[in-house]
Amino acid sequence: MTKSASRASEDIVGNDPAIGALPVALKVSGLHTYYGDSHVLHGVDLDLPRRSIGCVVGRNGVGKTTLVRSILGLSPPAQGQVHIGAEDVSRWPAHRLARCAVALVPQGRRIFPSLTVLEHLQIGARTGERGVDGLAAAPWTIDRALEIFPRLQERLGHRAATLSGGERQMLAVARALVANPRLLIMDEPTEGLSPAIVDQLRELLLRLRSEGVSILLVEQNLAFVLALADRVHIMDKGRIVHACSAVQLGESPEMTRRYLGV
Amino acid sequence: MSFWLINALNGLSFAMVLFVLSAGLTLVFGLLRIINMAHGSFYLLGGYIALSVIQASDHFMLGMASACVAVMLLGAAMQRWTLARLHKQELPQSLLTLGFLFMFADLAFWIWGGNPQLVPKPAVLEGAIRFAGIAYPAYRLALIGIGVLVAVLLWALLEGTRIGAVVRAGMDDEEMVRAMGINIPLVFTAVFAFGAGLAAMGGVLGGPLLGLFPGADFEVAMLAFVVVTVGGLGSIRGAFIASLLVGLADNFGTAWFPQLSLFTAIIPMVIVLALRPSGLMGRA
Ligand SMILES: Nc1ncnc2c1ncn2[C@@H]1O[C@H](COP(=O)(O)OP(=O)(O)OP(=O)(O)O)[C@@H](O)[C@H]1O
Ligand SMILES: [Mg+2]
Repeated sequence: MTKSASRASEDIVGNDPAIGALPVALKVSGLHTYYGDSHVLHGVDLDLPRRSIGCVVGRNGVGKTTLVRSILGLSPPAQGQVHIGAEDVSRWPAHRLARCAVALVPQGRRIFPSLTVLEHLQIGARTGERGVDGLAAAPWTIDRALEIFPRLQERLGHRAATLSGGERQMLAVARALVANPRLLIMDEPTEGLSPAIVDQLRELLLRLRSEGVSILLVEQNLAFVLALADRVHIMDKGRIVHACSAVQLGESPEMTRRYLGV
Repeated sequence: MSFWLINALNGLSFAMVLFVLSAGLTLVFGLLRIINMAHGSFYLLGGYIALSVIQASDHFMLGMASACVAVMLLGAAMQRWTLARLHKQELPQSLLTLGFLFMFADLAFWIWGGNPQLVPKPAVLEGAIRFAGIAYPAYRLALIGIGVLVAVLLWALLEGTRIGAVVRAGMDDEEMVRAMGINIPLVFTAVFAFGAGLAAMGGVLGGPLLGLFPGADFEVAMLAFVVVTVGGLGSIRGAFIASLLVGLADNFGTAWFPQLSLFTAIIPMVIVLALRPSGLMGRA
């Protein structure tokens, strides 16, 4: 057990030996969340080390989005703690948390139909503190975000209601990017995207990690998870039932079948 | 000819009062999802406060400014300390505003009494202007200009500024705006106060025309609800068009069928809602 745990921590470390020494970016402990009477999260524990990509996988309806919502304070947990860095943020209002450099790419994109592409970026933009916590010094400005997504540049003055599904997802990502997060939470970002855009997204996430961003990625696309994750957290019925490295998950068809249905 | 012209101008000037009043109501509904039953109270209180200030100072603009500021503060306090406590419970919030409607009505009756009163017009806008063979009240003409100006300013504020974009984003998806780090509780209070201020401005502008009396709050609120429903909840542009429709329908209706006056103001609502249930500019 001890041996496998230390093996797992090496996987988190990845190529950069310094990372293991940094404190966690996000720590979730014993989280219980209800929607009215329905008990959805049954004590979720999860650690996300700084500058790493942690994936949460699991079948439909196991509570992945609820976990994201609870971390962000959108569905406040009834019990348990969420720490970001050393700070206990469990009872913070959502907007305060987002000001501490946490950004969300939500499931279903949730762009604002009546705003133009540019307006999304304008209201989302935050300078954030760059150059601290090992975060790369060059901030994501609106211009830099648009360089990554030239398609959005072309549609800058259009209302988001007129965008295609892929463009909406790019916008949702760009909107989070210009917030200059230290912790980026993405809920099924590849849902409904073409393979080319998925590749682009993968490159972007790797780049963000190398810039020092910690990423919590909820995802059902196994190939995407295997290509990116430093650590995979398997969720079932409102709990994290297993955590392992991407390699371990890739080598265990039994696990993917049981928990992911593939 | 002059029958048409006069009634059209009457309809337009009345429509502008309606628009200023309804713009606040539709903004508040669009963002906070509350049907503010006390919106007419803000109109009435605004008118009364302006009346008292004008009587004391003989200064129309000062009356208007004090009325707007006072009612905005009242709205901010009401939202912050009562409505905000019922977050996401739209029906209890709306019912609470109904309670405020009765309280404010009593308060106004207690302070300003039960006799109908007219807000004095600004001195420069007394008298009439002659054109096209008619002599038409200068104040009513000015109202048309002011209404258009308010509409343009509101449109510029909402479409052209960052705070306007935040408000529209909040109308689309309040939770997502919160997740982006925007202090939405504060935006809610500000928009509610702003809407209250617009209602007060409506009361001051309409005061010299329609008069202030117990029950005026309810009467104008009725029409504002019609306007907001016809225009599409949350839409300023819709509220503008609907105000014109309702204002003109009300005036011509009253001219042609005096015994059916309120009915004719509601006809546009019946027709529009039959064809477009979400209103002219409503969100789907
Ligand atoms: N607002 C809500 N009110 C009541 N129940 C809800 C609500 N949102 C989700 N649920 C229920 O909570 C459970 C977990 O939902 P959640 O959206 O967190 O799952 P998920 O793992 O994200 O699923 P998916 O893969 O489909 O996105 C489900 O049974 C769902 O029906
Ligand atoms: Mg989900």
